[in-house]
Amino acid sequence: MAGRLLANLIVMGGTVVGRAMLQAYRQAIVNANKTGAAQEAINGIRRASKAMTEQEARQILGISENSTWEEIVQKYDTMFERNNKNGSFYLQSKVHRAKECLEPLYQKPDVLN
Amino acid sequence: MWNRRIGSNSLVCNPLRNGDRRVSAVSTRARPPSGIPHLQPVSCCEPIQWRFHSSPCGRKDSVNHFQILAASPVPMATPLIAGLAVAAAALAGRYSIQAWNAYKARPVVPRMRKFYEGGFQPTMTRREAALILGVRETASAEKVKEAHKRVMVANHPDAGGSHYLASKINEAKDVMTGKTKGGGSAF
Repeated sequence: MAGRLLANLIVMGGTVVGRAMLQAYRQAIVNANKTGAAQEAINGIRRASKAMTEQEARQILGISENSTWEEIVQKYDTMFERNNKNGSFYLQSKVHRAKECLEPLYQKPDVLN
Repeated sequence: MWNRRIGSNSLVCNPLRNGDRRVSAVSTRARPPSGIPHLQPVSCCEPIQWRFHSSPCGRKDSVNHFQILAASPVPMATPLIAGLAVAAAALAGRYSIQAWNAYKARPVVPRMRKFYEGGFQPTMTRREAALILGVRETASAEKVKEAHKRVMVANHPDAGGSHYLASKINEAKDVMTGKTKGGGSAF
Protein backbone atom coordinates (compact mmCIF):
# COMPACT_ATOMS: atom_id res chain seq x y z
CA MET A 1 0.00 0.00 0.00
CA ALA A 2 2.69 2.51 1.01
CA GLY A 3 4.95 1.38 -1.84
CA ARG A 4 2.20 1.89 -4.39
CA LEU A 5 1.47 5.38 -3.05
CA LEU A 6 5.16 6.28 -3.15
CA ALA A 7 5.46 5.03 -6.72
CA ASN A 8 2.45 7.11 -7.76
CA LEU A 9 3.95 10.22 -6.19
CA ILE A 10 7.26 9.66 -7.97
CA VAL A 11 5.58 9.19 -11.34
CA MET A 12 3.42 12.28 -10.92
CA GLY A 13 6.38 14.37 -9.79
CA GLY A 14 8.47 13.19 -12.72
CA THR A 15 5.70 14.07 -15.15
CA VAL A 16 5.32 17.57 -13.74
CA VAL A 17 9.07 18.20 -13.80
CA GLY A 18 9.37 16.89 -17.34
CA ARG A 19 6.61 19.13 -18.61
CA ALA A 20 8.12 22.14 -16.86
CA MET A 21 11.53 21.47 -18.38
CA LEU A 22 10.07 21.06 -21.86
CA GLN A 23 8.16 24.33 -21.55
CA ALA A 24 11.26 26.13 -20.26
CA TYR A 25 13.32 24.80 -23.17
CA ARG A 26 10.77 26.03 -25.70
CA GLN A 27 10.64 29.44 -24.04
CA ALA A 28 14.45 29.59 -24.08
CA ILE A 29 14.47 28.90 -27.82
CA VAL A 30 11.94 31.66 -28.39
CA ASN A 31 13.94 34.12 -26.31
CA ALA A 32 17.18 33.20 -28.05
CA ASN A 33 15.53 33.67 -31.42
CA LYS A 34 14.14 37.07 -30.42
CA THR A 35 17.27 38.55 -28.93
CA GLY A 36 19.61 37.04 -31.49
CA ALA A 37 21.66 35.20 -28.90
CA ALA A 38 21.41 31.97 -30.87
CA GLN A 39 22.64 33.63 -34.04
CA GLU A 40 25.42 35.29 -32.10
CA ALA A 41 26.39 31.95 -30.58
CA ILE A 42 26.63 30.33 -34.00
CA ASN A 43 28.62 33.25 -35.36
CA GLY A 44 30.75 33.18 -32.25
CA ILE A 45 31.80 29.62 -33.02
CA ARG A 46 33.04 30.74 -36.40
CA ARG A 47 34.45 33.98 -35.01
CA ALA A 48 36.49 32.21 -32.37
CA SER A 49 39.13 31.19 -34.89
CA LYS A 50 38.53 34.09 -37.27
CA ALA A 51 39.76 37.60 -36.53
CA MET A 52 38.89 40.96 -38.02
CA THR A 53 39.74 41.33 -41.68
CA GLU A 54 42.09 44.00 -42.94
CA GLN A 55 39.41 45.56 -45.12
CA GLU A 56 37.00 45.87 -42.20
CA ALA A 57 39.75 47.29 -40.00
CA ARG A 58 40.50 49.98 -42.58
CA GLN A 59 36.81 50.77 -42.89
CA ILE A 60 36.42 51.06 -39.12
CA LEU A 61 39.33 53.47 -38.78
CA GLY A 62 38.30 55.36 -41.93
CA ILE A 63 41.67 55.07 -43.66
CA SER A 64 42.76 54.01 -47.13
CA GLU A 65 45.50 51.66 -48.30
CA ASN A 66 47.80 54.60 -48.94
CA SER A 67 47.67 55.91 -45.37
CA THR A 68 50.81 55.84 -43.25
CA TRP A 69 51.20 54.35 -39.79
CA GLU A 70 51.33 57.80 -38.18
CA GLU A 71 47.97 58.69 -39.69
CA ILE A 72 46.51 55.40 -38.48
CA VAL A 73 47.77 55.97 -34.94
CA GLN A 74 46.42 59.51 -34.88
CA LYS A 75 43.04 58.37 -36.19
CA TYR A 76 42.97 55.54 -33.66
CA ASP A 77 43.79 57.84 -30.74
CA THR A 78 41.10 60.31 -31.74
CA MET A 79 38.37 57.70 -32.17
CA PHE A 80 39.42 55.80 -29.04
CA GLU A 81 39.23 58.91 -26.85
CA ARG A 82 35.95 60.12 -28.31
CA ASN A 83 34.31 56.73 -27.81
CA ASN A 84 35.77 56.58 -24.32
CA LYS A 85 33.99 59.82 -23.42
CA ASN A 86 30.70 59.83 -25.31
CA GLY A 87 30.69 56.65 -27.35
CA SER A 88 30.15 53.06 -26.31
CA PHE A 89 32.54 50.42 -25.07
CA TYR A 90 31.62 48.11 -27.94
CA LEU A 91 32.69 50.62 -30.61
CA GLN A 92 35.82 51.37 -28.58
CA SER A 93 36.60 47.66 -28.62
CA LYS A 94 36.17 47.50 -32.39
CA VAL A 95 38.49 50.48 -32.89
CA HIS A 96 41.08 48.82 -30.65
CA ARG A 97 40.82 45.49 -32.47
CA ALA A 98 41.10 47.26 -35.83
CA LYS A 99 44.39 48.82 -34.80
CA GLU A 100 45.62 45.46 -33.51
CA CYS A 101 44.74 43.91 -36.88
CA LEU A 102 46.64 46.54 -38.86
CA GLU A 103 49.67 46.72 -36.57
CA PRO A 104 51.50 43.63 -37.94
CA LEU A 105 51.13 44.84 -41.53
CA TYR A 106 52.80 48.17 -40.80
CA GLN A 107 55.35 47.02 -38.23
CA LYS A 108 57.09 44.55 -40.56
CA PRO A 109 58.24 47.23 -43.05
CA ASP A 110 59.48 49.34 -40.13
CA VAL A 111 61.49 46.44 -38.79
CA LEU A 112 62.90 45.71 -42.22
CA ASN A 113 63.71 49.38 -42.75
CA MET B 1 -10.94 6.67 88.08
CA TRP B 2 -9.00 6.08 84.79
CA ASN B 3 -8.92 9.79 84.11
CA ARG B 4 -7.54 10.38 87.54
CA ARG B 5 -4.83 7.75 86.94
CA ILE B 6 -3.81 9.41 83.65
CA GLY B 7 -3.64 12.73 85.42
CA SER B 8 -1.52 11.20 88.09
CA ASN B 9 0.83 9.81 85.42
CA SER B 10 1.31 13.25 83.87
CA LEU B 11 1.91 14.74 87.27
CA VAL B 12 4.52 12.11 87.94
CA CYS B 13 6.26 12.65 84.53
CA ASN B 14 6.70 16.39 84.90
CA PRO B 15 8.90 16.24 88.01
CA LEU B 16 10.93 13.46 86.37
CA ARG B 17 11.72 15.71 83.40
CA ASN B 18 12.61 18.58 85.68
CA GLY B 19 14.72 16.21 87.69
CA ASP B 20 16.62 15.06 84.59
CA ARG B 21 17.45 18.62 83.57
CA ARG B 22 18.60 19.53 87.01
CA VAL B 23 20.72 16.40 87.27
CA SER B 24 22.39 17.01 83.89
CA ALA B 25 23.15 20.62 84.73
CA VAL B 26 24.53 19.70 88.10
CA SER B 27 26.69 16.95 86.66
CA THR B 28 28.25 19.22 84.03
CA ARG B 29 28.92 21.94 86.53
CA ALA B 30 30.04 19.73 89.43
CA ARG B 31 32.23 17.08 87.71
CA PRO B 32 34.20 18.52 84.79
CA PRO B 33 37.60 17.13 85.91
CA SER B 34 36.25 13.63 86.55
CA GLY B 35 34.05 13.29 83.46
CA ILE B 36 35.87 10.31 81.95
CA PRO B 37 34.19 7.40 83.82
CA HIS B 38 30.69 8.82 83.26
CA LEU B 39 29.17 8.26 79.80
CA GLN B 40 26.51 10.94 79.99
CA PRO B 41 28.90 13.83 80.79
CA VAL B 42 31.14 12.76 77.91
CA SER B 43 28.23 12.68 75.48
CA CYS B 44 27.10 16.05 76.81
CA CYS B 45 30.56 17.58 76.64
CA GLU B 46 31.28 16.53 73.05
CA PRO B 47 28.50 18.56 71.37
CA ILE B 48 29.31 21.51 73.57
CA GLN B 49 32.95 21.39 72.54
CA TRP B 50 31.96 20.89 68.92
CA ARG B 51 29.70 23.88 69.01
CA PHE B 52 32.25 26.14 70.63
CA HIS B 53 35.06 25.01 68.35
CA SER B 54 33.11 24.92 65.10
CA SER B 55 31.50 28.35 65.16
CA PRO B 56 34.63 30.49 65.71
CA CYS B 57 36.72 28.25 63.44
CA GLY B 58 34.04 28.44 60.75
CA ARG B 59 33.85 32.18 61.03
CA LYS B 60 37.60 32.57 60.84
CA ASP B 61 37.82 30.21 57.88
CA SER B 62 35.05 32.04 56.05
CA VAL B 63 36.68 35.38 56.72
CA ASN B 64 40.05 34.19 55.48
CA HIS B 65 38.47 32.57 52.42
CA PHE B 66 36.56 35.72 51.60
CA GLN B 67 39.70 37.79 51.93
CA ILE B 68 41.59 35.39 49.64
CA LEU B 69 38.80 35.42 47.08
CA ALA B 70 38.40 39.16 47.19
CA ALA B 71 42.03 40.23 47.34
CA SER B 72 44.22 37.84 45.34
CA PRO B 73 42.70 37.81 41.79
CA VAL B 74 42.25 41.55 41.41
CA PRO B 75 45.88 42.70 41.78
CA MET B 76 47.14 39.70 39.77
CA ALA B 77 44.82 40.19 36.74
CA THR B 78 44.54 43.96 36.38
CA PRO B 79 48.16 44.80 35.45
CA LEU B 80 48.34 42.00 32.84
CA ILE B 81 45.09 43.00 31.15
CA ALA B 82 46.06 46.66 31.22
CA GLY B 83 49.42 45.84 29.65
CA LEU B 84 47.85 43.79 26.88
CA ALA B 85 45.34 46.55 26.16
CA VAL B 86 48.09 49.16 25.86
CA ALA B 87 50.12 46.91 23.55
CA ALA B 88 47.12 46.22 21.34
CA ALA B 89 46.33 49.94 21.10
CA ALA B 90 49.93 50.69 20.14
CA LEU B 91 49.96 48.02 17.42
CA ALA B 92 46.63 49.27 16.07
CA GLY B 93 47.92 52.83 15.89
CA ARG B 94 51.09 51.76 14.11
CA TYR B 95 49.13 49.68 11.59
CA SER B 96 46.74 52.57 10.97
CA ILE B 97 49.60 54.95 10.23
CA GLN B 98 51.23 52.47 7.85
CA ALA B 99 47.92 51.82 6.06
CA TRP B 100 47.30 55.55 5.65
CA ASN B 101 50.77 56.10 4.19
CA ALA B 102 50.34 53.19 1.77
CA TYR B 103 46.92 54.51 0.75
CA LYS B 104 48.33 57.97 0.03
CA ALA B 105 51.25 56.54 -1.95
CA ARG B 106 49.15 54.17 -4.03
CA PRO B 107 49.41 54.61 -7.80
CA VAL B 108 46.26 55.40 -9.76
CA VAL B 109 45.63 52.38 -11.97
CA PRO B 110 42.48 52.51 -14.07
CA ARG B 111 40.38 49.37 -14.24
CA MET B 112 40.91 47.68 -17.61
CA ARG B 113 38.06 45.79 -19.21
CA LYS B 114 38.65 43.16 -21.86
CA PHE B 115 37.71 44.41 -25.30
CA TYR B 116 35.25 42.48 -27.43
CA GLU B 117 36.91 40.12 -29.89
CA GLY B 118 36.77 40.21 -33.65
CA GLY B 119 34.80 42.53 -35.89
CA PHE B 120 31.14 43.28 -36.46
CA GLN B 121 28.72 40.45 -37.16
CA PRO B 122 27.58 39.84 -40.76
CA THR B 123 23.96 40.50 -39.77
CA MET B 124 23.33 42.95 -36.96
CA THR B 125 21.22 41.59 -34.10
CA ARG B 126 19.33 43.45 -31.42
CA ARG B 127 21.98 42.47 -28.92
CA GLU B 128 24.79 43.95 -31.01
CA ALA B 129 22.70 47.04 -31.71
CA ALA B 130 22.24 47.55 -27.98
CA LEU B 131 25.97 47.14 -27.41
CA ILE B 132 26.81 49.63 -30.17
CA LEU B 133 24.54 52.30 -28.69
CA GLY B 134 25.47 51.46 -25.11
CA VAL B 135 21.90 50.85 -23.94
CA ARG B 136 19.86 47.89 -22.71
CA GLU B 137 18.03 45.66 -25.16
CA THR B 138 14.77 46.71 -23.47
CA ALA B 139 15.48 50.46 -23.63
CA SER B 140 12.70 52.81 -24.68
CA ALA B 141 12.64 54.70 -27.98
CA GLU B 142 13.55 57.98 -26.27
CA LYS B 143 16.65 56.52 -24.67
CA VAL B 144 17.62 54.90 -27.97
CA LYS B 145 17.35 58.24 -29.76
CA GLU B 146 19.35 60.01 -27.07
CA ALA B 147 22.08 57.36 -27.17
CA HIS B 148 22.14 57.40 -30.96
CA LYS B 149 22.65 61.16 -31.00
CA ARG B 150 25.43 60.97 -28.42
CA VAL B 151 27.31 58.13 -30.12
CA MET B 152 26.87 59.69 -33.58
CA VAL B 153 28.38 62.96 -32.34
CA ALA B 154 31.37 61.00 -31.06
CA ASN B 155 31.85 59.07 -34.31
CA HIS B 156 30.72 61.59 -36.89
CA PRO B 157 32.70 61.32 -40.17
CA ASP B 158 33.08 65.10 -40.38
CA ALA B 159 34.65 65.23 -36.91
CA GLY B 160 37.26 62.50 -37.09
CA GLY B 161 34.98 59.48 -37.24
CA SER B 162 34.48 57.03 -40.09
CA HIS B 163 31.63 56.41 -42.49
CA TYR B 164 31.62 52.71 -41.70
CA LEU B 165 31.03 53.27 -37.98
CA ALA B 166 28.42 55.94 -38.73
CA SER B 167 26.50 53.51 -40.93
CA LYS B 168 26.74 50.86 -38.21
CA ILE B 169 25.39 53.29 -35.62
CA ASN B 170 22.46 54.25 -37.83
CA GLU B 171 21.70 50.60 -38.53
CA ALA B 172 21.79 49.90 -34.78
CA LYS B 173 19.25 52.64 -34.17
CA ASP B 174 16.95 51.21 -36.85
CA VAL B 175 17.21 47.74 -35.33
CA MET B 176 16.48 49.02 -31.83
CA THR B 177 13.46 51.05 -32.93
CA GLY B 178 12.10 48.18 -35.02
CA LYS B 179 12.30 49.89 -38.39
CA THR B 180 14.48 47.10 -39.75
CA LYS B 181 13.81 43.42 -39.30
CA GLY B 182 16.19 41.78 -36.88
CA GLY B 183 18.69 39.08 -37.69
CA GLY B 184 17.42 35.96 -39.39
CA SER B 185 16.32 33.07 -37.26
CA ALA B 186 19.03 30.63 -36.29
CA PHE B 187 16.67 27.61 -36.27
